[in-house]
Amino acid sequence: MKQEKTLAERLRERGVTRRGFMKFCAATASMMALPPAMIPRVAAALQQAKRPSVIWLSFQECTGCTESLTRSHAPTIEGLIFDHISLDYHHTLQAAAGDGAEHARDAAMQENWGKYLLVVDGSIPLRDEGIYSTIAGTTNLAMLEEVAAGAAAIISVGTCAAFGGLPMARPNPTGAAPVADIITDKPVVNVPGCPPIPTVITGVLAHFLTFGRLPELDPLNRPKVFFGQSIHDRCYRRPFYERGQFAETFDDEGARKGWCLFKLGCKGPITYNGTRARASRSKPDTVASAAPNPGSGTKAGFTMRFPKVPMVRQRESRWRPVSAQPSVSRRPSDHVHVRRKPTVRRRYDPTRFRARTGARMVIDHFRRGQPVASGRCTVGASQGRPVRSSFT
Amino acid sequence: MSELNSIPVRVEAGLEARPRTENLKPVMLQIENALRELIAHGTETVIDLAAMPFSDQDEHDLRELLGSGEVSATINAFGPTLVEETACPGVWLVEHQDAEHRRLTLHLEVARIPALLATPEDDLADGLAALAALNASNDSTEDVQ
Repeated sequence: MKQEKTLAERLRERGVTRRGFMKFCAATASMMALPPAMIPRVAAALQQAKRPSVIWLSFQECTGCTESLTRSHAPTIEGLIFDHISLDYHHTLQAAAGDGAEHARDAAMQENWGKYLLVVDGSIPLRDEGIYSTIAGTTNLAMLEEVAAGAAAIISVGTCAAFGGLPMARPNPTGAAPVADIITDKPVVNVPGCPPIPTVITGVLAHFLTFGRLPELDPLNRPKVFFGQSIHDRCYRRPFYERGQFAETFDDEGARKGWCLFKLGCKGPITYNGTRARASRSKPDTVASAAPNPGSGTKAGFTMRFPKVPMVRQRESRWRPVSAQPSVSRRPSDHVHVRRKPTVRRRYDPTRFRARTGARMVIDHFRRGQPVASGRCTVGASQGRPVRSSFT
Repeated sequence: MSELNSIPVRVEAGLEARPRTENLKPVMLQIENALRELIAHGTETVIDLAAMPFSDQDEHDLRELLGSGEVSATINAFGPTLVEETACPGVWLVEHQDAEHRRLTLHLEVARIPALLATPEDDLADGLAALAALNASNDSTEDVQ
């Protein structure tokens, strides 16, 4: 019987010294938002961690999630954890093809029944009995149900697997659905993002290796440790927001001085994303690149309901009567009116706008002074600003 | 061109204009208390500066306040780790970087010596074995001569 190697042994084989291993544990603990006092416990657990079997199913997706995890050229924490797992089936990465690949999946399932981790990226088509996406003649739906039956836990990687993503966007021709809508009798962890942050994917794996269980989840089944804080909470531009210093256009003095991008449509305050993982890195993100955070892909239904980014200047008078025609000569002439009541329209000013959570309202979009869209909006629970809307 | 820094665009504002998060003072007080604990009970403390909102300007101010001490070291294990004692003896800044020199974590350790600098127990045995083998090979070489 072959002796299974622990994570520490595998790292040592790859030339990672004991100091390197302790550093790896310090970085992993930081990644999982554990206090530094937990580093010895993480080290002790990872020292003995066995190699978990992982089956990775790719359905209606673009392979960006896999790219996100594997594109690194240097040894990283993510890479080392990813290398440690026994990736028994991943039809993009594995060398085997055809029947050989499917037999490998069957063998891994039989050998590790009830213990393997199932990672899914991509949504699952349900319309017409799921014929719109098949692998080796098996529909995604049938394959998911078969593999999920023996899984210890399921990790939905990327917005498509977690919430449906782009394949589920209207008119949703394939009847795409997220994993959690289909598998209801197993724990499903959603790691949304387009693509998801690789540190978050491996953070979930590291948590499973360290503690033998999945991390605590929020109401959207996302790991709280990574999705508990908004981009705004950890934004380095936050002090400018507190001082009321905003960039009004992309090339004004405020933009050049690195002020807050809220008025340029930044969704940081309502975007709960893997900030904890990102904060520990010196990697640039959208906000550091002077672009408002679009908040894409981290909440359910963003492709269908996400409002257009309003390009508005703060003006002396933000109130406009229903009959008022927006001036074509004014710039920017793309703007948004919010109607709380049928007779009142309000120019959308994201810094001042407040509404009761759950309130219904109508949003009108104007482009070049002409109305182009109108739709309903339900005010979400965050910051009293409209976070969900559907447009007609 | 994989890093933002390689794009020749510069923000006009100087470092002075970059924001602070108001977390510097609490951290300084935490360091003071940790040093008291170290002296009184020998308890070592590690503060993960990535675990709280702490801007570049805060870090710059922290380094200015704490100053540079006598000891600095680089550990080359799984990428470099930069260890630097501050002008306050017993207070160390430990920055872990990956192989591409990107920061993994920035720890502030209040200890007599940072844990990572000390030789791991298992490495001592490996060192002894290597040294014994070296001496044995030297002895055999001398015998031949």
